[in-house]
Amino acid sequence: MTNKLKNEMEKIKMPKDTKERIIAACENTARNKVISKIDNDGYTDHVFTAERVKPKNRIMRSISAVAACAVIAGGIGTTGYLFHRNGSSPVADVESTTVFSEPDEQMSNTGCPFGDFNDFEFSIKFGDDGEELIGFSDETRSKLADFLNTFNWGDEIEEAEVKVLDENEINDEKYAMISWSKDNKKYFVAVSDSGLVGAASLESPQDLQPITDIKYYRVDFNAFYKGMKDILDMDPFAEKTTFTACEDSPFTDILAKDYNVSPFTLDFAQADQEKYDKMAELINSQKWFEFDGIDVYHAWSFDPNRNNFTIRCDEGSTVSYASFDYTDTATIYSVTYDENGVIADQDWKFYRCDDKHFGCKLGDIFGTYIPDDFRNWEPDENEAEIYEHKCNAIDFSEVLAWNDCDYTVIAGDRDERISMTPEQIEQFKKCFDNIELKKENMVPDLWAGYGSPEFEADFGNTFVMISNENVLKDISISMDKKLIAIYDGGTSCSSNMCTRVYRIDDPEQFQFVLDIIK
Amino acid sequence: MLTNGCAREAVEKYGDMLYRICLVMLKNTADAEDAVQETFIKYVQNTPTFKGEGHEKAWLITVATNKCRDMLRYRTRHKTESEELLQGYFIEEHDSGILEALSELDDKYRIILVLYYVEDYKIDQISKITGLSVSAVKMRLSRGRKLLREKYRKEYIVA
Repeated sequence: MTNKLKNEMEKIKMPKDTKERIIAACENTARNKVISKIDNDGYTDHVFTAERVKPKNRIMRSISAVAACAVIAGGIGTTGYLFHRNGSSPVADVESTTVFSEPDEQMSNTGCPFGDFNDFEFSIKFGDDGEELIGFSDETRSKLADFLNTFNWGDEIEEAEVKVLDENEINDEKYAMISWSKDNKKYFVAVSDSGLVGAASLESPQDLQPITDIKYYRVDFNAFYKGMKDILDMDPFAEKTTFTACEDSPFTDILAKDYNVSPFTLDFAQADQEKYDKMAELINSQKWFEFDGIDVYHAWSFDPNRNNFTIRCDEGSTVSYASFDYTDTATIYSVTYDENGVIADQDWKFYRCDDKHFGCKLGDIFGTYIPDDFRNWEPDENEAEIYEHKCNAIDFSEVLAWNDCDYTVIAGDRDERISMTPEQIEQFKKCFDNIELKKENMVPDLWAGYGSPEFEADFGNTFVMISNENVLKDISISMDKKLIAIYDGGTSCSSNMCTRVYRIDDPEQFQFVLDIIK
Repeated sequence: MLTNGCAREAVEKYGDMLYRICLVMLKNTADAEDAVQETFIKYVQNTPTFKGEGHEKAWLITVATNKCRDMLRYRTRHKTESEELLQGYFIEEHDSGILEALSELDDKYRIILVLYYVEDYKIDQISKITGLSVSAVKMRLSRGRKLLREKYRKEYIVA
């Protein structure tokens, strides 16, 4: 089937006249670019290798951001501070920023281009949200200083080389920032995972000024990373998720009861005792670690599905589930219903084991076909897949700021789209005044994602869509008025698991939303 | 790798590939042509520096798919009258059930299936191109494959 798909797809060709039209349009654009260049600059040389207009590289942005924080924290006025961007108007020479402009002064006898770290009260920050590590023990500080002094920072590289690197380093996601103060100057050295290092200094200005000049170096990031990690006895770039070892298997209780299984299949079924025994033995043989997975595994379906091995146990009004993915992660979810079938209580816990292919082994016991992609999955050492699902938390205060958006009520059952009036938008926003969606009120998405049949069964298919070119958010309230779901389809989320569901403390506060979507 | 900014060379080399992807995403020939044109114009305007041919191709696909997403988002908000069904195009042009089945899938599956099976990208490469996590790509590939098989068999073989 897939070969047929490839063969058929490859038969699709763009019409010849369309190609010619596109080529003409491109050539016209290129011509205009040349003309524009002549008009503005008076020369035409090397137009096609002209510098790309793009935001500053990660190093410069990082240094600028940290420098801004440092200066603001120091109580210096921020009037007039601008993040300088490539392509904007040229900034006049800024006397307040210099980049180790006196190398001889900075160069120590250690050979480190930034001086002797033993002489600095330096602090270190990792990543965008990293806290500054300022509380080193003397021993750790000394080890770090020695490491930084003797680290091979290489020679300064030319700016032209930086531009090429900057164009190509698309995975420039991590950085470490080392900063210190000396003689009324603040110094910064930023190391990114592309190996690019930027160094700048900032004099104490009356007005905060952009950093316009940075010295660049090229280093072996892996060596830097390993050296820091060894000294700090921690992974400085890891998410701060704590895994707590369980004394006993957390699945013992559920496995002691009567249950059905869906071994990566679409239905629950009873299996023979031999398989149950093998499964229980495999599960209980693992060392399990509990972790707070609500942020990263908030999208988890307990309905039988191809991506989970699920165990279901019914006991009166309580249903318990244990669910395993193809890798090493598992969840236990327990839900109790009242006499009206409404959820009265629920609880979930997340676990991991050391066997990265644990889920596949469960599937093998039941003879489930497991795609090679899943069977051969290997975690990335530097970026464990568990963290990839993480979406930006939705800040509800954002809702109030969405002024330039269309607010539309989508009535799925009637296939209607009704634009909200300005008065309705105002009232809608008022519903969200003083709303704080707390993490402890978040519930896992047990409905297989926004808009799924399971979701519509509980939330209906009428919702409010808030959108513009950069924002696409849908808001639904469950029919029992206990939950609010927000789907973030905008640019802030790169994962498909972008449905967040929260318990509502005060349903009356959302009465207007309920009225408008009923 | 192409000479920087050479429009004809770029369109000849990558035009059909981008057109296929845009057509599958947008299900509309006119929109697909527009998306491809805007992609190449961006290419000419920016003259980015590439590490190699693979990087260049991935860059073009990323720009094109982002453009398609923008257009789809616009469609979501401004219901258009002119959307033609891809099925019609395929029936007319190719008389093949597999493409009709593909066109009936949700767009989030279509693009992943095309990148994987038609353009031969690996999962981690698709992850980088689309901005999805590796596991999300795997999941969409797995589900998309299953859905495609079901649709193809049910509607175009059994019938």
